[in-house]
Amino acid sequence: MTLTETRPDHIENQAPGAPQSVARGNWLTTADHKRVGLLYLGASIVFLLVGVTLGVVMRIELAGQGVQIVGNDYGRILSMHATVMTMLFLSPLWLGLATYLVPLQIGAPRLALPRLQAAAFWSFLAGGGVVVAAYIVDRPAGMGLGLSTPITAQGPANHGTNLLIAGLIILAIATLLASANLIVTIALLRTEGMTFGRLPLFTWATLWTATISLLTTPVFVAGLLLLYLDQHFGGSFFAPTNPVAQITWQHTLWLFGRPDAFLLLLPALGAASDIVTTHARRGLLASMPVRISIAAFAVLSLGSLAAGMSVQSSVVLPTYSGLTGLVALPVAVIALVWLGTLRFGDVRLHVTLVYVACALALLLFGAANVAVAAINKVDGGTAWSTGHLHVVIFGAPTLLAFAAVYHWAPKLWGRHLNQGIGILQALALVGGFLIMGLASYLLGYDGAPWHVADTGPKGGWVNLERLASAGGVLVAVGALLFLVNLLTSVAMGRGEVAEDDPWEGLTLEWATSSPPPAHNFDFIPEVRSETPLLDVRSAPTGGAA
Amino acid sequence: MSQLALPAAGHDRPRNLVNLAMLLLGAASLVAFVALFAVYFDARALAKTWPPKGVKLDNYPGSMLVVTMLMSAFTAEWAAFSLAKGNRSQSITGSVLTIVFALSSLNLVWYVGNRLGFGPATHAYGTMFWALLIAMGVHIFIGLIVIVVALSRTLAHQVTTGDPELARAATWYWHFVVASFVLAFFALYVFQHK
Repeated sequence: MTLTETRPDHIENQAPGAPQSVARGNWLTTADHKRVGLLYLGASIVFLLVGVTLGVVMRIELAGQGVQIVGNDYGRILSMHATVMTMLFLSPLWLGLATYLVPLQIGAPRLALPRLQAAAFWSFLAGGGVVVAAYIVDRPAGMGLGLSTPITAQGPANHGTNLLIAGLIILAIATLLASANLIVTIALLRTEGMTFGRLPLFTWATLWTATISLLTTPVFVAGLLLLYLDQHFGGSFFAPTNPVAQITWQHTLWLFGRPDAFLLLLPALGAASDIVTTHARRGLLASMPVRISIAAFAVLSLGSLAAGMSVQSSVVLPTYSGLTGLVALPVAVIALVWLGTLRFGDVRLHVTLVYVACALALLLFGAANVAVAAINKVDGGTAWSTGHLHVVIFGAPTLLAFAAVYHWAPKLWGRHLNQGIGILQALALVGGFLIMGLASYLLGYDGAPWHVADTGPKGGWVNLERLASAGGVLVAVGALLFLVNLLTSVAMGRGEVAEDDPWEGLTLEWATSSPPPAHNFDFIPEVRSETPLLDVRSAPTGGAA
Repeated sequence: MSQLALPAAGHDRPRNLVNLAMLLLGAASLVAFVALFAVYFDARALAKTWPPKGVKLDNYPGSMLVVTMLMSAFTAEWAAFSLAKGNRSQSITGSVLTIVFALSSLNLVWYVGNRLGFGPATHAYGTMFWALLIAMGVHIFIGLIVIVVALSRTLAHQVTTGDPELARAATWYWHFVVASFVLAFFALYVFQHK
């Protein structure tokens, strides 16, 4: 199907068969949202390599008895691994996809403030560099991503601490700028007929993700400012020398009990909804419940700000409390609607659906273990939480992120990624997360500690740690397969050249070329429902070619 | 090349992109202040004496600061309003006065910090006071940059009566800065004692 009436000259002059470039100009100075989106994706993939390498080092360490290779640096590596994988890989991956896709999904020619998004990206890159540098030059003083243990400032902090706080503040500012820009774009640049109720689900989820980011990131920045004053100047706000420091810490923990962990899954729910509808070749069986569930998930994530000290020992870490545990309900509603949509749709078997199924399996596995842990009264500050973090908080959103990349690869690069490698990657990832999760859950049920380089001499624990390490290596294999696929299919140009609308998509991004021209659309069909391209195809005169 | 079954959508583009972005970022700034206020009042409630013994704030520079900031809110509004009404010269005057007030406020923030007699590490009160003071200084600085950019683009005829959006957006952000500042003044000076 071709929806463009005429092509600009520069596109017609390109070699036949080659995907068109997304925009002209220098990548360093570009403000084109597609290029900025790809820059986000590229940077996040580099950070993925860093994070996976650190994870493999930790798993090798944990596979043997005693401390063998990391010395006193296990905490530093663990903290860096967690920070890199969530704040520098997964979060910017979603931001990159949103930067690229949101204007296309709403029929806009650009982002509202293109240069602001470019500034946000370069700030993100600078902040990420500072965070990594912090871990390289020093051991940040007892701080990790979650900051889930009380800070005990005992004198002036080292350079690592200062750099880490500075890096996190820069990252937070970059997030704020990008979030505001995405909200403005969605609010004011929607094409005619694209009401909020008709927004594609990925855009809808992005809107909520950006809104929650805008509300909660400043709280985190405020916390970081206090922490900086305390750490840098050797202050006493959180220190044992302050008689009420522990209570102060308990009362102010919400500054750091960020909902970010939930925001890794929130855009994933929207992306997977678009994937399911596209490959079921129909709209969602019940759209409104999914929209409400995505909004409810976002609002409930704010509950983590009210978690208090339960953060440290919650068995459902980091779902913190009953309030935040309620996020399971909207997820369940969304999953049921997906299954119903597939049941009544004309399903096209595609690698992305394998990823969605694997992510659902991980979520179910995690939910089952929450139930078991609640019955057995397992302490959250054990290896159980390591398993839960990898299965639910990181594993499921990561699978859905890769699903999104496979789904939108034709639009991003004008080429398909190899589906065979994609299936192998999905199996490696889900297998790895399940094995690592199972071993960690079992260790937790037995009371094994987390965040230590050596679990202890107990024979059973060593074997379980080895099993978890095997799972970790499998996850690394999955990540490597993705890189191989990306290199061969996109960088080396061996991937099949994509048509403009290879999946007979339902939403506007499929109504333009792959990849889109600099101005995004030559022609935008009128939007009369959530599935404008389905309307075009089913209209009496037969718009589809 | 096929014909589309449905007509093309319209291409009307609303204005106010920068305005809305600035409102959102201003609201985010306010959230950061609200978080700091919450910690401040929590620490105040936990402490036996607040402020700690030996701390004596000089109300004069604090009051001067808030008065200066409030005056700057009026001049900033004057600048945006004048431009919208087609009076470019008054708009430039309003912006220049706002910049002068902003620089004066920064100077006063520096002065207050120098005269406090306690540091961020002295006690919890010191940490909170300095956190709010630094946050105020940073926000004034950011607001100052935004207003300078808006003024320079007004001078270059890029922001005009026909397209005054950046001037209005700069004013919106400045109002958020002033609102945060007034709240901080009440927290630190008016309600300083338990």
